[in-house]
Amino acid sequence: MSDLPQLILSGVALGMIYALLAFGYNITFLTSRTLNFAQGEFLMLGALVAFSISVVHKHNYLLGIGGALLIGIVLAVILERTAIRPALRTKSDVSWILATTALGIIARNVAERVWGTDDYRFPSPLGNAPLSLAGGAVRVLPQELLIIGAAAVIMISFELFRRGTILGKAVTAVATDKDAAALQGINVALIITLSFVISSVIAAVAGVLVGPLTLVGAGMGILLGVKAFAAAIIGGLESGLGVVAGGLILGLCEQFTARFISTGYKDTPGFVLLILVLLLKPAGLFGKRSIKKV
Amino acid sequence: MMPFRRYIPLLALLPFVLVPLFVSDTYIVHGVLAKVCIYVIVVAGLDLVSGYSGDISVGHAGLLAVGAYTSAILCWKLQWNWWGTVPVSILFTALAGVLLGVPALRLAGPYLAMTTIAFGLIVQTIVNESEKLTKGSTGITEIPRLRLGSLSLESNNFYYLTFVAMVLVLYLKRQVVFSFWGRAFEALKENPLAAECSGVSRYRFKLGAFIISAAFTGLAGALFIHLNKYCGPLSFSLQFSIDFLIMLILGGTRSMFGNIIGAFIVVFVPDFFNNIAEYQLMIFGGLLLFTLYFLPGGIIGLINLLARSVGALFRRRRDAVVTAATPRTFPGEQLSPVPEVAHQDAATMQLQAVYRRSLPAGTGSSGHEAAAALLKTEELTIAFGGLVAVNKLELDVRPGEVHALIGPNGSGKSTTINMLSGVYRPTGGRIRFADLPLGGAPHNISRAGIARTFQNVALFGDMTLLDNVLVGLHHTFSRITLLDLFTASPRARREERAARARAQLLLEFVGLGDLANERARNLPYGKQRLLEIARALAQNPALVLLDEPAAGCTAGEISAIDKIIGKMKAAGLSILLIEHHMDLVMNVSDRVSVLDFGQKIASGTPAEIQRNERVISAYLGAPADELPPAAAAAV
Amino acid sequence: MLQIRDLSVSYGPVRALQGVSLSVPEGKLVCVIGSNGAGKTTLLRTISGLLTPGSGEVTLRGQSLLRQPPHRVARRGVGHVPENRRVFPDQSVQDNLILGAYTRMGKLKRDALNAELEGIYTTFPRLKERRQQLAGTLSGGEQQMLAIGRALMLNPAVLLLDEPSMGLAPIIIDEVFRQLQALKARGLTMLLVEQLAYRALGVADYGYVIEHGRIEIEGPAAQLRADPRVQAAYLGHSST
Repeated sequence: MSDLPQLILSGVALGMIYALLAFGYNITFLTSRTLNFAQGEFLMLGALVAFSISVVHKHNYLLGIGGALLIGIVLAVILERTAIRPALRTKSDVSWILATTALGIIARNVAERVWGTDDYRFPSPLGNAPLSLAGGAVRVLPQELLIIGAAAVIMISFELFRRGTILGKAVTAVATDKDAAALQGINVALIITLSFVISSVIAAVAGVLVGPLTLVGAGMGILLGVKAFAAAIIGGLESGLGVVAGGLILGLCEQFTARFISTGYKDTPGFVLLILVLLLKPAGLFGKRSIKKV
Repeated sequence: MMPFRRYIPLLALLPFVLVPLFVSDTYIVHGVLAKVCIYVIVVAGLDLVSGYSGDISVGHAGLLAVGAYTSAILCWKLQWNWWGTVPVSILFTALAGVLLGVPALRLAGPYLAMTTIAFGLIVQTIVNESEKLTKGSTGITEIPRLRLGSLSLESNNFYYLTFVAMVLVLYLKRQVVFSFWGRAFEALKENPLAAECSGVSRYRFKLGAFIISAAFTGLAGALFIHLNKYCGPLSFSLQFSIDFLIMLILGGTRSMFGNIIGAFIVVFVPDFFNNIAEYQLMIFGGLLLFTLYFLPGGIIGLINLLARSVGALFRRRRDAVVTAATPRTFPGEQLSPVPEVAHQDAATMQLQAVYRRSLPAGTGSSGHEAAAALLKTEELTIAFGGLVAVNKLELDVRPGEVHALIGPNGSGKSTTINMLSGVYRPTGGRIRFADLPLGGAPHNISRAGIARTFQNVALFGDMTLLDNVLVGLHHTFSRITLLDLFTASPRARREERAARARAQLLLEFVGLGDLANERARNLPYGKQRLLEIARALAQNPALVLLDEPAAGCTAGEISAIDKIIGKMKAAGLSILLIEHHMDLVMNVSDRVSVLDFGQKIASGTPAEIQRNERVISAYLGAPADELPPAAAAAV
Repeated sequence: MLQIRDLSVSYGPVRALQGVSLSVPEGKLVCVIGSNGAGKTTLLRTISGLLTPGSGEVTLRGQSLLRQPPHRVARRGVGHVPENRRVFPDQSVQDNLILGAYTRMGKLKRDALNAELEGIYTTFPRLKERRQQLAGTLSGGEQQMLAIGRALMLNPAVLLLDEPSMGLAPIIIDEVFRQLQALKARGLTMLLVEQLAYRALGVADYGYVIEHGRIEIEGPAAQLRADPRVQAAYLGHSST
C-alpha cells in the first residue's frame, strides 16, 4: 500500500475535473432547472482549441487558455439561445434534455471534421517528469498539482463572486426565487445566460487542464461529461458543496477501483454509486430534502 | 368500437413484405430493410416508455445488448437452437427492464435520463470485462445460420423473419396502447398526481411500460446478432441509445408510422448518401433540434396535419355546411351548462344506474343526525418542517351530507384534502373511513371509495373527455390481464365496451355528453370543472372531496355546479366541499366547518357560521370589540 | 400616481380579473380588500409585470407599465412586497436589503448605500440585530419587516403590499399595521391588498372591495367600515 498517497493525489486531481464540470451543472440547474447534457463536449472543444493554439501553433499556454475561455462563451450563448430558452418556454424536461444532447452530437461531429477522429498528446506546460514529494515517498505529475490548484482557485473565485458582488448575489437570488428576484429589478433571463456562460467557460478550462493527463480528441468528452453528471447527482445536484464532494468521491473511487479491482471496471463505481444514492437518498449525499407541494 | 378499422394501418404494411420479390440486392434487403425492421421494434418499445409514459430512456442500447448477448451466448456456449434462445432473450431483457424501470418510479427529468445512461454504460462495461462469457471487446462471431425447417432464413429471407417480428410487435403495441393500459400511460405522463388519485397505480403501469418495452427490445436483440453475424460491445454504445431517441422524435411519438419513418430515415439516409456520412451526426443533431421546436409531432405529425388540411379543403368544397362545425372549434355557449329539465331527471336516473357502490353498512341515504360518521378524523395533524399546517383537526362527514370546509388563505383546507386523498402523509392523528382506518397511496384511497377534484384543474389535457372519465373507471378493469389484451379476448372487449358506455352516461350526467370526443384542453374552464366531477364519480366513490369546484367560474357555471352537487347528494353521495364562493357554500351545505391557522374554530349550520363572531374576525380581521355597527348588530 | 383602467386578466381560460379600474393618488394609502380567490394577488402581479393582462391599462405618472417585464417595472419605481413575503431565505438579512437596491447599484455610492441601510435599520431595529443572520431563520413577522425594508431599498414611487398579515399572529399583525401607518405618515404612496378588511380600512384613505375578479364596492375607508355589504362579500349573503 505504499502507493496510497499517490493514488489519493491522482484521485483528487481527477475528482477536481469532475468537480469543475459538476459545478457547472449545479450553477445552471439552480438558476434555470436545466443543465447542459453536452457539457462533456464543451470540455472537449475547450481542450482541442487550446491544443491547436498552444501545441500546434506553439503559442503560449495562457493564450490557449484564453482561446478555451472564448470558445466557452461562444458555445454558452449558442446553447442558451437554441436549446435552453425555447425549452424554458415549453416547460418540458424532455425538450432541453434532448436539445442539449443534440447540440452535443453536433459539437462532436464538428470536432471530428476539424481535428479528425484521432487522439493527440497534449504535453503539460510543466513537463512530464514526476515530482518527488515527502522525500521521494510520493511521486506526482506536476499537471496533477496544477489541476488541483487551478480548480481550487476557480471554485474559490466563484464563491467570492457569489457572496461578494451584487451580480453574484443576484445569481443566488434568481436561484432561490425568480419572481421575487424580478421584483427587485433583476433581469432573470440575463442571469440565466450568465450562469450558462460561467458553466461553459469552466468546462472549457477543465478541458485544458485535463488534456495533458488523458489524450485530447473528439471522443474525450462524452464519458467525462456523463461521469461528472453522476458525480453531481451523488453529491446533490442542488448543493454547491455537494457537487464538489461528489466529484472528489468519484475521482478517488475510480482510482481505487482501477488499482485494486481492474482498470476495465474503473468507469463503473460512479454509476453504481449513482444508482445507490438515487435509491437511498435521491437528493444526493449533501442535498436537502425538499417538500413536495401540490 | 370498430375492431376491424383499428387494424387497417397494420394491413397497410403488408405490401412491404413483397419488396424482396422486386429488389434482389442483398445490401438493400438484408443490410437496410431488415435493419429498419429490427430498429422499428426497438423504437416501438421506446415509444411505450418515452412517447406514451413520458420517461426519457437513454439506455435502450443497453437493453438491446442484453437481448443480443443472451441469444448469442446460448447459441455459442450451449449450442442452443436460435429459436429456443428467443424466449430466453425476451425474458432476460424484460428482467433488465425492471432494473431500468425502478428508478422511473421515483425520478424524473435529468435524474432519470442520467440513470438510464448509467444503465447502458454499465451493461457495456460488464460485457467488455466478462471475457469468458462474451469474448470481451473481440465479440462473439459464432452465430449459427438461421433455418426454419428446411427453409434457410439467411440473406434476403432474413428480411421476412424481421418483418414478421416487426408486424407482431406493432400489433401487440397497438393492443396495449388502445386499452386501459394506454390510458394509464398517458394519464401518468400528463398528470401523475391526478392519475393516481383517479385510481391508477403508478407502480404497476410505470414498471409495466418498461417491462413491455424491454421485452420488445429483447426480441430485437435476438434478431440483431444476425445482421452481421456478430455480437460485440462496440455496437451498443451510448450514441446508439441516442440514435433510437432521434428515430422516435424525428418520426413522431405515439405513432406506428412515426416509428417506421424515424427508423427508416436514420438507417437509410447515411447509407445511401455516402458523401454525407461524415456529417451524419451534425445532420441528425440538427434534425432533432428542428423537430423538437418546430415539428413537435415529428414527421408523421406534419403528414397528418397536411392530410387533415387537404381533407378539410376537400370537405369544404363538397359541403359548405359541414365546415361550420369542424371538430376543432368548440360549440361554446350554444350548449346550456345543465341539460334541460326533462333531460335532467333522466340524467339523475342515469347516475343512480351508474352508481353501483353499495354504501357502507349503517349508512342510509338521508343525513340523520344520529347516523355514524362516514369519514372521521381524530387529531389529524401535519407539519412541514417546523410549520404546523393542520393541527389536531377533528372533522366528521356523515353519510349523505354536504359538508363544507372553509377558512382564510393558508388555513389548511387544501392540506386537509391532500391528507384525506393520500397525497400527504399526516404526521399525527388518524383518519377513519366507513369505520376502517384509512391510509396508503392515492390510488388505494380511490379504491377505498374517496374520490377528489383539484383546486387547479388537473385533467389530462391531451386526452378526450371520454378517455378522461375512462381513467376514472380504471378500477373496472381489475380482472383484465395483458394476455387478454394481446389476444383481444371477448372478456377484454366486453369490459371496454361497458366502461365506454358508462363513461358516456357520466358525461351526460354532468352535461358534457355531446363533447365526448373533444380534447379536454379545448374545453372552457367551467366545463373542465364539470369533467373533473365526472371523472371523480367514475371512481364509484362514497365520498367526493371537491376542492374549490367553483374557483374562476362564471355565475352560470357556478349555478350548474350547484345543481350537480344537489344531484350527487340526491344519489346518496357524501361531499366534503372546499369553496370560497360563500353563496354557493351557504346554499348547498348541510354543515360548515371553519379552519383558521390549521385549527377548527367553528362548526355548524350555514346560518350559525355566518353569525359566528370568531369566523367574522378570522375573515375580516376585526377584534370583537372593534366590530363596526353593522357586523356587531349581526352577532 | 398609479392608475389602472379596465384591467382584465385570464389564466388560460380562467378569468381572474374583469374590468378592474382603480387609482392610487400620490401620498395616499389605498386598499383593495376581498376574500381569498377574489383576484387581489393577480392584480398586484399584473401591475408588476409578472402576469400579462388580457386587456386594460396600467400607468405610473402617466406612463404605461403594461407589457413590460417585471425588472423594467421595478426600475420605474414600483416596489412590490409579494404574498408570503418571499425573502431570499439562504441569504443574509443585509444581502436581502442590498438586493432591494439592485436597480440603483450603478449610481449608488458605498457610503450612500450604507446610509440607506442604516435608515432601514432605524425603522426596523430587529433587522439590525439580525443583519448577518440568514433570512430564512427569521420569524414570520421579521420576514415581513425584511420584505418591506427590501422594497423600500428600491426607493419606490409606489409600494405594492400583498397581504402583509398572512400567516401572522394578531399581535404581530398589529405591529405590521403600525409600520404601514408610519410609512403613510412619511408620505409614501401605497396600494395595500388585504384579506383582513377592517384592519386594512383602519389605515387606508380609500378602499375597494373586490369580489370574484370585479370591483363591487368602493369608497372612503371610514365609509366602507360601516358598510354591511363588506361582510356579505366575505361570508355570503344570508341564505334562505
